[in-house]
Amino acid sequence: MSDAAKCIDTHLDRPVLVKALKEGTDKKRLLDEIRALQKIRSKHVVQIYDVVRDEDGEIQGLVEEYIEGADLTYLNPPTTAEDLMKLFYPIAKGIAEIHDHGHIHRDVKRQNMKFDGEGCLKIFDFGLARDETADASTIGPIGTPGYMAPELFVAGTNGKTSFTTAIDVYAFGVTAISLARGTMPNGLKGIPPKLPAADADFNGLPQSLPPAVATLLNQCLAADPTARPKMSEVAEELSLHLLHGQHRAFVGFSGRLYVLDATHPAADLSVAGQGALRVRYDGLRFLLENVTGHVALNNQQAFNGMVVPGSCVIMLGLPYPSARTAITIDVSHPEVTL
Amino acid sequence: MNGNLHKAGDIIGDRYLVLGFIGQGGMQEVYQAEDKLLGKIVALKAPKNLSAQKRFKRSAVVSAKVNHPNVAKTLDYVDVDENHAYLVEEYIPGKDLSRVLREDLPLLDPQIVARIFHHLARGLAASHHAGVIHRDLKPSNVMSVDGALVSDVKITDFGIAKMAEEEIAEAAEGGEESLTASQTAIGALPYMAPEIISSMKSADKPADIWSLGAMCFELLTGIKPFGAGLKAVSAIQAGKLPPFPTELSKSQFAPLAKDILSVVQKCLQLEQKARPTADELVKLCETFCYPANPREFGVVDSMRNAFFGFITAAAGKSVFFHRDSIFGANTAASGERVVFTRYPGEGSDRAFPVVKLRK
Repeated sequence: MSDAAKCIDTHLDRPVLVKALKEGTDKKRLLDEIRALQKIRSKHVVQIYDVVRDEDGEIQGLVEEYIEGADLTYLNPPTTAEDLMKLFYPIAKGIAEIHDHGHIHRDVKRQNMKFDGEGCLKIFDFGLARDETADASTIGPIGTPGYMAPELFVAGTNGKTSFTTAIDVYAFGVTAISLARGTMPNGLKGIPPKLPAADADFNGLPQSLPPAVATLLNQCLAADPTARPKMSEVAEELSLHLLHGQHRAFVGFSGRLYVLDATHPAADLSVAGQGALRVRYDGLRFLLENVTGHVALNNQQAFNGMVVPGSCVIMLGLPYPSARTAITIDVSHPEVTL
Repeated sequence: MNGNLHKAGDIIGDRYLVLGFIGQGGMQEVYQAEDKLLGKIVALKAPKNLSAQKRFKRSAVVSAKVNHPNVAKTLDYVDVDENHAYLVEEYIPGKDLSRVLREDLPLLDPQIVARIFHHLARGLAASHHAGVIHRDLKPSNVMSVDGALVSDVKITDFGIAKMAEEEIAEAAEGGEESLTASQTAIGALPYMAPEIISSMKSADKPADIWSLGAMCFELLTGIKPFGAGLKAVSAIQAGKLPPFPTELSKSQFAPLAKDILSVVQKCLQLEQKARPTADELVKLCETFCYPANPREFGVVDSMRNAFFGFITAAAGKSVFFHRDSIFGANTAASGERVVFTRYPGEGSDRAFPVVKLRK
């Protein structure tokens, strides 16, 4: 349906995508919107290079970065939870970065994503400005059936629909469940969809996602937009689970350095008369256990089950002038560069 | 400092409004410009003279082949007339790594070096996949987003390197005198692979791996591994690394520094085939453990005692630090400027690592 052609930029001798504007595009607002999109700093957003004008100077099309290969519509579903999360993560991250810059994509779907030759996920085809005074068939909700959040079908008192970044979160949920199954669940195809849909459940997938991840992804498909998580929360949770077993903590205690990781997951630390605790790695986080005596983490009373933040100082003993011992813990991990 | 070719207010190709002069390399002047069509800031590169002009188009085409987040993006090429051409690139707010070393940080902490190494390896792998060899990787050809905060790194001047190579080859043919006279050659020398010194024409992918290794050694230690100037030539040909500085033996930083050094050593092998490919290098760098959290600038309030101190930043709560978290030192004085990463804490936040800026 989209009128787009691969062309060669003869100046730089490289392929570009030249795309005709969709019917009903509001050309007056288009340039303002394209300019606003330029502020997004994300490796996941396709670059717009130029516009194509006709003899009257009217914009007829866009010149974009050309991405080789197929979009994600017919991608074979990954078979493992890890590969599935590796697929979801850059999508969530890209949408989160779009939201960080105050934009709503408005047309998140499998057809609008591709991996480039370097394996970097690219998101394209923002739902750009529509001329609401044009032909009646273009009025109303913007988007693609199946990916449209239920609130988009509810007209406000002014006859227009209002929406937030939560529509992208919903569309991400639809994209994710469709990628996991290979097809869009029938339960999401209603106009509007009837939620929750029994066949759109991240808990029952053959890839067996970690329960915390499945729960969060299910919340993306909540009927109530305010019940959906922020896209950045989803990206963070996915990256945490992608690093399962790969975290490392450097524990500095009495002038020595101890390394905790998946093979050496726990350390008992104690100073007689001051306090004692155990630091244990559960594959995702470093937790405090067996806390006794006077133990403070970053100046907070320590407790069993407390999660060690990225970097902290644990103090054993009562505050000055008592004798105290400092333990530094610094957590690091390989960077997720997907 | 001003450019010779343009001044603020000039319009190029009906689209780019020159805002100011950024700097210059051996071959080109770089301006900050506004793309009036898309309403964004870009970097505009213009060849300095007619002889550079001839090579310029080819260099633009070469750099446009590489598309990766760790490589400065080529956006446009404008042919105004046969004597005036411009390359339009992504504008990167920050400064190049040689300026960061010179103006801000004499050496970088292992955490940020690990990240830089990893990202540059990825950018280099993308260019090698596209069949593009950089030939002139050095700190001044790497842009650091947000300067000393190193929010991101991007390799620049891919195409220019081929031009530089020709200048260096010409200089080399002209003997030692013209080699010394060539700023480009002298700047490239400390990072130059041994096979390039023997013959400029033999520049191949492994030469980029060597240069990246040499650069990361300098970032990590503050020392050019083979020295500067013409003296570097014999040291490079011997391929022997200087001893590792003691700053890096501090327990909090030592394990990662050791990991990085072992990868650097793999890159700096005289035998080209013994060096990792860019893809292999990415795999090696993927094992580095480092926090990728954003950094910020701060000023040390005081050290409360021999062990602790506090930092004030432009925004947010005051930040507590332990002396073990200071990179390359055991204490910090009131008023010292630092770069650090913030972690949440009760009362005060916590900083790790704390890296002192140049005074």
